[in-house]
Amino acid sequence: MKRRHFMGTTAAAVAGLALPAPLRGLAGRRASWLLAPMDDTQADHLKAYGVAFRALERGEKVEWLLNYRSGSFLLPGDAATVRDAALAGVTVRETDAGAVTSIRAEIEQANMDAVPLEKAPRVAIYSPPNAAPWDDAVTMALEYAGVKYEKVWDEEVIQGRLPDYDWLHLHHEDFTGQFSKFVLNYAGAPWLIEMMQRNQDMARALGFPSVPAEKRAVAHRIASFVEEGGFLFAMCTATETIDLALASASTDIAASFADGTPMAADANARMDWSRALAFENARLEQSPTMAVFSDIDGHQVNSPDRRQELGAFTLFDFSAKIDPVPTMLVQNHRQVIPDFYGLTTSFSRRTLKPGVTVMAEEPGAPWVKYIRGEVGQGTWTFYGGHDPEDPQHQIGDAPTDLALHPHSPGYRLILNNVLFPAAKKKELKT
Amino acid sequence: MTRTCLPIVVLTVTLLAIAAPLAAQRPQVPGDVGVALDAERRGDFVAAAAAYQRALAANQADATALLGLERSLEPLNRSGEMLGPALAAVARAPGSAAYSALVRAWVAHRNIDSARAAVSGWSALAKGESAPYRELVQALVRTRQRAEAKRAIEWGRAQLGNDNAMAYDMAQLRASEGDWAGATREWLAAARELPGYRLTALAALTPVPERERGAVRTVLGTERTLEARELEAGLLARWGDPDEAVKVLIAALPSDRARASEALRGFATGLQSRPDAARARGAALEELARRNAGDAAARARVEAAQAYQQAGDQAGARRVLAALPAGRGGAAAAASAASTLVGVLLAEGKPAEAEAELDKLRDRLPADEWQALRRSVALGWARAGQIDHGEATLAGDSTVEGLAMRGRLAIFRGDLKGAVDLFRSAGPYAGSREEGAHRTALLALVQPITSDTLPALGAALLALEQGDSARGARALEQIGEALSADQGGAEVMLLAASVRASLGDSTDAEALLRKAAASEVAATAPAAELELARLLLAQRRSSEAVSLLEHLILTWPRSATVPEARRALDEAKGAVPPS
Repeated sequence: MKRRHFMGTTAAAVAGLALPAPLRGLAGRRASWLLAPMDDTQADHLKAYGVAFRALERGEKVEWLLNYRSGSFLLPGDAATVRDAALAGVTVRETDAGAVTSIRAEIEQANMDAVPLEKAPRVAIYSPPNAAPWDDAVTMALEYAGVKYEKVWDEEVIQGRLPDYDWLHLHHEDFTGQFSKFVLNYAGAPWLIEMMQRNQDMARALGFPSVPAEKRAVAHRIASFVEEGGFLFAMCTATETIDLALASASTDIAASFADGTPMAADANARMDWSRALAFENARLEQSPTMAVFSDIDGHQVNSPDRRQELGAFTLFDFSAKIDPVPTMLVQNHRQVIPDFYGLTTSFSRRTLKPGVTVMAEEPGAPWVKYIRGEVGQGTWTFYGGHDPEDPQHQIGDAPTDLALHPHSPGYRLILNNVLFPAAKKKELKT
Repeated sequence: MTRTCLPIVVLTVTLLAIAAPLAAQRPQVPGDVGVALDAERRGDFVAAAAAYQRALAANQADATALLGLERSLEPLNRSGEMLGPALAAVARAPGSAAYSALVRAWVAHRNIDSARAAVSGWSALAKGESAPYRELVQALVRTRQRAEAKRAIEWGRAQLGNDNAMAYDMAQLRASEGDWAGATREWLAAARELPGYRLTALAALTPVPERERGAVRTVLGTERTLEARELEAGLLARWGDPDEAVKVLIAALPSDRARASEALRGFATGLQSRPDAARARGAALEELARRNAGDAAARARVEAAQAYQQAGDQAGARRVLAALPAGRGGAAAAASAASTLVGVLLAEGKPAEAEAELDKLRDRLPADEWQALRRSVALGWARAGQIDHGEATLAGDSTVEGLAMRGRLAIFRGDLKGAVDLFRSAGPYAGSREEGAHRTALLALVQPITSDTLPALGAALLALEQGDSARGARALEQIGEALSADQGGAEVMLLAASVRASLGDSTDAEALLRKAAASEVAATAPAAELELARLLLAQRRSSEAVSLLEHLILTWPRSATVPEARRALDEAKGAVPPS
């Protein structure tokens, strides 16, 4: 082959206009559909979500086959999707109209459903500007799957830019403004000094008297985003602290190192839980030295006296036709998943509001792992823990390499949430 | 009872009668403590805690029961219950066991003042000892109260009048905060108190980030002791500068021969598994030889020569061997010296002298070692351009390694068919893993070539063997152009590109890789594309690399290079952390 010919082929392939030799036959025939099975035959579960997301970005229609082969995707059989799946190493099977009819018949007769996905959601990650991509499970999952996102932080939130997005993920932020309560135990550590400085500078720049005051305002903006129809996903300490920030509108729950005054003596009594998304009647942790916020977290990883060992959590089985939303969020090829610590690992059942839907729990334990609910026109999902593939996560741990965990069931739960806003809205029965 | 039950009862009574004396023969801990220990061993901590509590109710001063209760309550998250028993134990029989439990109990209750009071009571009994303070510090660290733990160390130091007390604990606290200079100061203090801490310090300070290393060296520099220099040298070696490390160490050696030798031997031993530090190891051993006499010096010289040779420093190896007095160090050392000399002579391109030296060793070396050196001499002859002589040297070597070496010499002669036959006869496992991989690469290179002989290729490969990479690359390029792509041309081009890349000639390497990639030869094109993508990534031309990797994956989906290409693609896109 001449160089000119080679370069031409490469350029065409890159532009997605032509397929290289081994894939040309397939493109010529154009399979009606591609089935991306999500059971154990899938070569890369996490990247399959990226293939579906990019198909939506190209304006194609995708169907999410809930409970069919562990939540498979029916993708368009066009050349671009074939190419994308091949590049990503995602297993897809050519599926003709007859086979699709057969699949639909099977779905009709079982606890399954086919949910059309229509439009790639606009994704934002709330994360400080200096955060490395390897510091947050959701960012890692999106990077690995190839799902586009933008980063926002306090400035963008306060300036009212959240309505630009459909889906917002909260980096493991401490919305009580207490710097994850690491201040006393890690005093002098360079990373802590930098984190505090950055937050204090931002609070000052936005005109707030302290970081706790500014974070509370950010929490309220985020809650408004949900009420107005946004999708919120939070993990780790962002789950617990956003509710603490929302409920503490009329009291001071921050230690003196954060705002110059200690926690109000009657803070517990003055919490207004009606403002919170998920929790109620939690008791605040009084010690400023302990990196624990309240008894919302069931595992209390940083409390030597109360710390609970990790077990495994079980996903609930919902009715796909009646409860499509939680069904979407629990699609997985594993029903029992090893638990993993975070500053907030789990959620005490005692503190859950009555309307909260539990999607995963540790059977017999007084805590649950994965919950969701609705506020106004929007919806929120909370997932306890920091990194599903780094169960004991410690500060300074090496980043998780998702290429080594392409089948991670814990990470699948994150990616279910990313695609969920793409689902065509239909009246929900729950 | 019916009559049928009677035999069962009789049997049971008999068995019990036999079993009772047997059980009595086992060593038993009497009473509740025995029950508790048994329950604890079974993992029934609830029962264990209850039994220990019963034992303490009978005797509040029972240290075994007190510590057992503490162990059992911890997994139950009931450590808070230890306070009462610990207070009672201290009141009844104040001793280290009772006080240590009390200190831990107060810390668990977050009552630091009371924990300090317990430490004071304990230290009144154990005057001048750091154990009470250390117990407090460790309890605080366990409960992640690091700031409080530091304050406890300062308090203990003031009480003990010893600024170095608990330096080991303070060092770890400082390091956990990223205060590496502070940690180093503490490690020095710890090593002053107990020299055994030096190795711990070395391990603990190895992960110091690059930007902090200067500060660590500055702190180490404030202490003018050999121990500090040993630590500094050890760290420098682990941080990738072994040559500077050995200079630092040698400059600080005392006149005391035993102490200096200990330091040098320790340093050299620490580098034994580091091929990249072979020269520094050689320097340390040479200095060790210089400071010793007799057989010890001779053995150190032989080791130094081997290290220099491993580092490719033939002059150093020769220098050390030249200083080796004849007959010193015993027969084994002499044989090692001679075989090292053979290696040095071969590296210097003197196969005749090497062969002569080797002949002298015939009766002093094990047969397989001698034969391995003989094969090296054969290769040395080939490198000198005397392939016939090399083949003659291999006469009588019927080992698979000998067949493999004959194959290499056959390739240098351009006898491709002969080489392939010999390589196949040798099999994949002859020699070291590296040699096996090298043979496989040579087979992959020559197998697509239809001609049985190709002297030009042999000459090009010989040029590479002789270290003349530029000439070898030029020749390979010409051969690659002359051969058709699917009859070895692409593979030869790929090799030429690798040689160019190793010479730092990335422009020519890129051009050659593009030619090899464009060949559409299934065995070569994907490998060439992968190498080209890596070359582009190294030049930060990510978008071009991404295009190539995508092309590779899509065009050659069954190629063995696809997993590597996917990994490279993920890294290029930032989808995974860099390797």
